[in-house]
Amino acid sequence: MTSTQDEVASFVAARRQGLTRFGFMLTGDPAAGEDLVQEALVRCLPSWGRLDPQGVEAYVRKVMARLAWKARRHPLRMHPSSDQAEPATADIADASAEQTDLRRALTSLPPQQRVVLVLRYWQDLSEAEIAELLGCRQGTVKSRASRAYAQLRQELDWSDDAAIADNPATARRDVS
Amino acid sequence: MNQPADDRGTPLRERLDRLADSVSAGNDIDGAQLYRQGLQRRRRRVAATTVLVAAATALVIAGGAIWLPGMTDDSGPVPDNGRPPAAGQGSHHARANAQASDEDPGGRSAGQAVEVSQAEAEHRCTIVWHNVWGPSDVKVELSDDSGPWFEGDPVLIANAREFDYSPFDISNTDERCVIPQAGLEDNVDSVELPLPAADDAAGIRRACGRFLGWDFSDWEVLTADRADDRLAALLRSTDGHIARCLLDSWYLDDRGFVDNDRYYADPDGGFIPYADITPKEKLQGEAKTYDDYQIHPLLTLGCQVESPGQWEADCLGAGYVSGPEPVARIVITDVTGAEHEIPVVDGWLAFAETVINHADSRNSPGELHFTVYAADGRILARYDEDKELPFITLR
Repeated sequence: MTSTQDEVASFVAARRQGLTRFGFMLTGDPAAGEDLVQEALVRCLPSWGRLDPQGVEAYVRKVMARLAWKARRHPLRMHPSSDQAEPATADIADASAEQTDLRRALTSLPPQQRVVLVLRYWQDLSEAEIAELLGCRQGTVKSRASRAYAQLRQELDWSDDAAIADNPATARRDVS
Repeated sequence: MNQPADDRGTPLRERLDRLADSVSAGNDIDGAQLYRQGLQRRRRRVAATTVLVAAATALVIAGGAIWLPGMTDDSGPVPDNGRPPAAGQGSHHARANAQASDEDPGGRSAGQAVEVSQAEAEHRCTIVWHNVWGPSDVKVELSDDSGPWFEGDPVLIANAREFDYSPFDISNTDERCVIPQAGLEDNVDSVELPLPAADDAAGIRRACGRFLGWDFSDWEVLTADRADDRLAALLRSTDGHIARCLLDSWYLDDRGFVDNDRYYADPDGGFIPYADITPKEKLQGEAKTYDDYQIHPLLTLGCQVESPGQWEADCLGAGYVSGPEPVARIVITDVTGAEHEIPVVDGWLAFAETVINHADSRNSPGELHFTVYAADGRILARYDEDKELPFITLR
C-alpha cells in the first residue's frame, strides 16, 4: 500500500471502535454505520495529507455526520439496504429490550432528525456547534432536534423520562 | 461541547450511551480492509447503477396512495415472473400511438421473459464491464452457476476483483451486472449526447434503452423533462413496468461513460446517470402509509451545477405522486423566488430543472416550497420543505 493508505489503515485500527459506534448511532444500523465509516474514509483520502494529525478523527466524524445528514438527498449513495455486498462486521451484542426498542425508534426517524438528535443528545453538542458542523442554520437544528425528540418519545411511549432513566428496565413500555 | 443539551436530554443521553455501547466493531477485518471495502463499495456504485433501486425512498410530499381514475392500462396484467417485458412482449398497449406487435422483432415469444445461457450472460456482462472499467483479457464469471438466467436479471460476478479499476488493491468480490438484451450490451451504462428533447419520445426511448441495454421501442413515454445537461423520463411498458431514466452528463467521458477519475476526484461523489425498471405497483404502493400527498421514489436529487462539490440544486427526479385527489401539477418555489412547474401525468412526474435550494451552504437543509394543484386550478396542498419535516421521510 502507499504511505497514505498505511496512515489510513493505522488510523482506522486505532479509532475503529469509536467511529463504528458513531456511525451506528448516526444511521441506527451497525452495517450502515460501518458503511458510513468506510465512505467517510474514502472521502477524506484526497485531503488526508493536509489534515492536522490531531484533528483527523474530528474531521472524519464531521464527514460522517455530513454524509448521514445528506443521506436523504443522495439516496443512491447512501442506501444501506441495497448496498451491502460485504457482510457487516460490526454487530450488536446482547442488546437489552430497551436498547432494541430505542434502536428501532432511532431507525424510524428521518435521517436528518436522527443525526441532529445524536449530535445534540448523545454527543452533547450545542445547537450552534451542530449548525456549524452540518453547515446549516441553527434554527434548522432546533426544529429537527425538537421533532426528533418528540417522535422518539411518541415511538417509545415515554411519558416520564426521569422515571425511565432511573429504572429503564421496569419503566420500559411495549412498542408495537 | 461547551453548551450541553437541555435537561430532558440527560436521561436520553444515558440510554443512547447504553445503545452505543452495545455495538462492537468486528475483529475479523483490519483497518486496511475496512478502508478498502469503502473503495470497493464506491466503485461498485458506479458499475451497478442499474441495479441500485431507490424505490424504498419516499420524499417531499407525504400522502396515502390512490390510484387515479382514467388510467388506460391499469387492468393490464402484471407479469408473474416480475421481469420487465422485452420489446414486443405483453398483450396490449393502451395508447394508439404505441401499438405493440404480437411478434417480437427478435423472434421472442410475447409475454415471456427471455432466458439466456450462463455463457451468454457472462459474455454480455463481460462486454459491459470492459466498457465501464476498461478493456482487458478478463472475462466475467458468474458467482452462481445454478441458473436459470434471464435478460434484465442482476447477477453477481465472482471475479470482480480482476476488473479492478482502482489503483488500490481491492480484495472483495460480488459485483453485479444486469444482463442486457441481446445486441444491446455494447453501450450499457453510457449516455448518448446530445440528450433528446423532452418531447422527443423516440429519442428518449433510444437514449434510455442504450443506457439500460433494453429495447424500449414499444414502451410509452409517460412524461419527461429536459433541462441543462439532464434528462428525467418515465416510461411505461404494456404490462405495468415503469422505467425511470435519469441521465446527467456531468461525469461523462468522451465515450459517454462515467469518467471514473473525475467521479472519484469529486469529494461529494455526485449523481451519476441512473435507470431502473420497477413494477408500477411498487412505486405506487410505497405511498400507502401516509395521509397526504407524496412523491415516490424521490424527487430531490443533488446535481452538479458548476463544479464538483457544488450541491446547490435539486434537479433530477421521476416518480409517482399520490394523495387524496388527483394532482395535475406541482409548483416548486426555490430560495430565489423562482417557480418551477412539474406537470403530473396520471400521477407520474419527471423533473430535471435546476432549482436553487441551498444558497448559503451546500449542506443546508431544503428550503423549497411546494404547492400542489388540481386540474381545475385548486390548490390541494402547500408544503414547506423545512417546516414540514415529518412529511419529508426517508424510508
